[in-house]
Amino acid sequence: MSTRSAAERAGLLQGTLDLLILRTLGLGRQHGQGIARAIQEQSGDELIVDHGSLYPALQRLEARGWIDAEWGTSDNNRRARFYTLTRAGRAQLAAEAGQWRRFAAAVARVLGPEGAKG
Amino acid sequence: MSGRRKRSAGDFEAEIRAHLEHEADRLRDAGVPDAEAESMARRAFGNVTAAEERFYESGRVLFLDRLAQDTRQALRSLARSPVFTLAATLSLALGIGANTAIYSVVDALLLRPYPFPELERLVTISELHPQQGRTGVRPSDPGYPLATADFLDVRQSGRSFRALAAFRSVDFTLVGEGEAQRLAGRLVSPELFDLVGVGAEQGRTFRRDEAEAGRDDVVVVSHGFWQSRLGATSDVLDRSLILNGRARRVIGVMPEGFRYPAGGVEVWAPLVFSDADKSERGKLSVAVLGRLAQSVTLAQARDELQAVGAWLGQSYPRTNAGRTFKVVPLREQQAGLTAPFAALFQAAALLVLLVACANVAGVLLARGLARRSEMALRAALGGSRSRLVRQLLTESLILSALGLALALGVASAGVRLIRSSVPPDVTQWVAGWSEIRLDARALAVAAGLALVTALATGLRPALTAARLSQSGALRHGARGSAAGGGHRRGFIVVTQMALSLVLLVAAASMLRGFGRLSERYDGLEPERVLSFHLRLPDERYPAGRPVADFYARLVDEIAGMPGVEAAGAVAQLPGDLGPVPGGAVSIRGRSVAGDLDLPAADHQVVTPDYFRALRVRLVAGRLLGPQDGADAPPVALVSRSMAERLWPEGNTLGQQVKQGAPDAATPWREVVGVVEDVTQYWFDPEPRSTLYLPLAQAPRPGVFVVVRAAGAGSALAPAVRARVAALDPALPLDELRTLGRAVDDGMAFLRLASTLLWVFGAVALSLSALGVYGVMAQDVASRTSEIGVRLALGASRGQVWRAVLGRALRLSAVALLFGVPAAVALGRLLEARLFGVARADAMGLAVFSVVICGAALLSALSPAIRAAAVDPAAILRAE
Repeated sequence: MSTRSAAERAGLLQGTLDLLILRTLGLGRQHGQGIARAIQEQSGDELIVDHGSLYPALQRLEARGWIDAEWGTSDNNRRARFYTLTRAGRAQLAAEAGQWRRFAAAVARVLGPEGAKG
Repeated sequence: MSGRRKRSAGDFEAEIRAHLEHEADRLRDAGVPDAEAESMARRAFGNVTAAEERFYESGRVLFLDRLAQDTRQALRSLARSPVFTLAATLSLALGIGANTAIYSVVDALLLRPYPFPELERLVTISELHPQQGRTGVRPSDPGYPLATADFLDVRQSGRSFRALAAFRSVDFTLVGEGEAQRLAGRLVSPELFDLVGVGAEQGRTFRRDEAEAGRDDVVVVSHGFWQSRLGATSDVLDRSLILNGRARRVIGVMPEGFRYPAGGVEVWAPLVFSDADKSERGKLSVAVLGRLAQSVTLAQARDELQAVGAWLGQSYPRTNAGRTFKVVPLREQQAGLTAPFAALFQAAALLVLLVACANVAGVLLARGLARRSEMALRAALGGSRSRLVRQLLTESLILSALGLALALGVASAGVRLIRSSVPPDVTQWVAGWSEIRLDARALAVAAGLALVTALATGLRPALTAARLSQSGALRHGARGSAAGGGHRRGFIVVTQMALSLVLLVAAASMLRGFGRLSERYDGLEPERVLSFHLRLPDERYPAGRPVADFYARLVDEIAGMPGVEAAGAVAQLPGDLGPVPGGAVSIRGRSVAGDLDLPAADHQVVTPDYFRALRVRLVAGRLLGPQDGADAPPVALVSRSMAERLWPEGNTLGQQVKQGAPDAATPWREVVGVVEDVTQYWFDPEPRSTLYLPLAQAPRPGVFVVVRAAGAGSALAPAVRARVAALDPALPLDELRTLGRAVDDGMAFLRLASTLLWVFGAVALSLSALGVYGVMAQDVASRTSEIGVRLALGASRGQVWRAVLGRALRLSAVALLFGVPAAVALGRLLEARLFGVARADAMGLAVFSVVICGAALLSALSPAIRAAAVDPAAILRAE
């Protein structure tokens, strides 16, 4: 559990949530809360998923046919709606990940090495 | 999103609940106390409701939700103005209902009169005579039946048909099953049932070999006959029935609803061709039905039969010269008389629907105008334009739905009414009558039309309202700005009144024609004449003398009863729609080129007192008398028209005539008298030629007995029945009724027709009156302040009255301007198409023009009173 306040945390850039969800599901099927937790943990608590946006995003991805959903039982024996990546979703993930990496690298080049004057 | 199922809001809620539980689990694992874990999870999630709402907005749920909201609002608003709702709903219900009922009837009678597979490939074949063209018989007239030998030739050589079947009617008297009964029967070719494509419900239909003499002691009975007269027992097959003195075995029961060749047929027996039949070409005796072979067209079949006819004409010139065959699809066979009536009613019902739609349009328009300020207010408060439009449309839709629901009731009541208004002994001749039922397609079409009207007229004010400058409309408030709508409504009302006039004048012309036709029987004093039908069973009354003796005695005994003035017998009762016997007549000394050039006439067979019983006046010579017995010299009477046609010089008396061709076996008869014409059928365009033969010299087993009473004919019925039973208790006595009733039954269709037109006319008139009232009421309401100012400036109340009533009169004057020419044109058309049934009627036109104006004034009365009661002081203060 993080002790930092929400204000200090990095907000998610518009459009990145979809990519993060797809990436998380690329590792295996997961339910909504699990996706949020995985993103938070893997980002070292830097990225906090706003749950109010998570579910509409899942809804959106499902509607586009990138992910599938079905009800199942979680490790701790609770019912949950599990999401899996579809074939189309996998392709989308590859495309978006590549795009993002290029974008991030480009931004990094513009900003220069850390500590340099702005 | 192909094939993806919509998620329910509940499912989404469950997912969020699962999320919160997982989060709480995680927190608990991390050491947070139970109670706190849940609320922390909730806090971490943020706003649950907001998430749910976002899900909600994304789906269709919102649309449904808004629809429900619109519906509730529309219902509330409709309930607030019950008069408006009632007027619109009733208009729609009457318009849609009337159309559905009429179309249902038309559909059953004209489009699918018989429930047979591939009905369109079934054709009737009849013979046409060269004479028919010459005597001006309309081309749509059915031809004659076929001669038996001609039928066999057609069946032999006709390649266009998969099968052909002949049939003729036969009366059966059934004994041994309770009281003796007369049954309508048909002798039919065994192929008939296969040909129409209907098999027996129980047992089987005929085999080919059962049409051979000696093997034909089998019958197929109707479902109704089995139910009502054979007790619906399961062992009906192989049961023996004594029909016309001969035992016949029941081999099959037809399914319910099988009515071919006519309703009312209860027994079918095989048609056997005797050796004489196989060469008979003069007597036209069998009706013929055929099914076209695969891929043969009607035109091809006609060509082929044309060729067969020509060949027969060459081979048998004496009988067949000039005779041809007529091939008519079974479906169109009865359309000749029905079609113009059907067209009339469809048109009338359509006019009613138009008037009704106009009413709905008018009412919706007025309502739209009245609600401008409401709409503007709502728009100002943030109601989106699309939302306002949708709400008004919802109202229109709900109105249409209400109207449709009521229309269902109106239509089914209408269909029931129409079905019950014509007695069964008339409708049994109308194919498809019993199949009349509410037609879903008709309902759909009429409802669609009404829906379009409601939407179109509902949309206009909605769009106007949405477009209105909000502040402007609010400032104007409830009053003002009704002028534009006033024009449109005026137009609508004028149309309504014109259409009503047309309908009413059509109804009046039908009534005129109807009255004129039923007057044809007034001379017979039909209420004082009691009549019934008797048929003597052949086995107990052999043809000839015993029959003649029985009837002579019967009419004698009835004539001697108290309260009876005269009694007689006749082959076919005038006014009844049954077929009257008839055929060619030969005149001694007058030679003709061929048999077909012989004059034709009805051959009525009567007892001497028939003429007294019906008050048929003697024109010349003498009536028949007891001296014209079986052994006396053969005599005949002729009707006045026949005498005028055949002996225009007036030398009728003393002429020698005979039934049939000059060389026929019938005796030459001396014409001893001429009697006044009697109208046989109400639709006869002119009096028929009738030859009267004394029953004693031409006995027939089946006759109508007519009894002239001193008072009401119906009062004699029980005594007459008892008297017949005293003579022979086993005789079935049918159709016991007054002549007036018989005529009425025969004219039932006509009465139905004119009643329907009156109902339509009255409905249209009241709808128009409602329309006028609406326009005037709205007019007065929107000009209240103007009226107040005028009154304050010194106008008299009388002037206000005149202004309001004057506008109503102007509206009806414009309506007459269009309505009168339309009504005159329709009257002409009806007179031409309905041969004498309708009469163009200047009186009706005048009367109903006045009625229309009167209705308009009456409807404007209450708005006028309101206008005159305006208090100028109050109005001026309010300004």
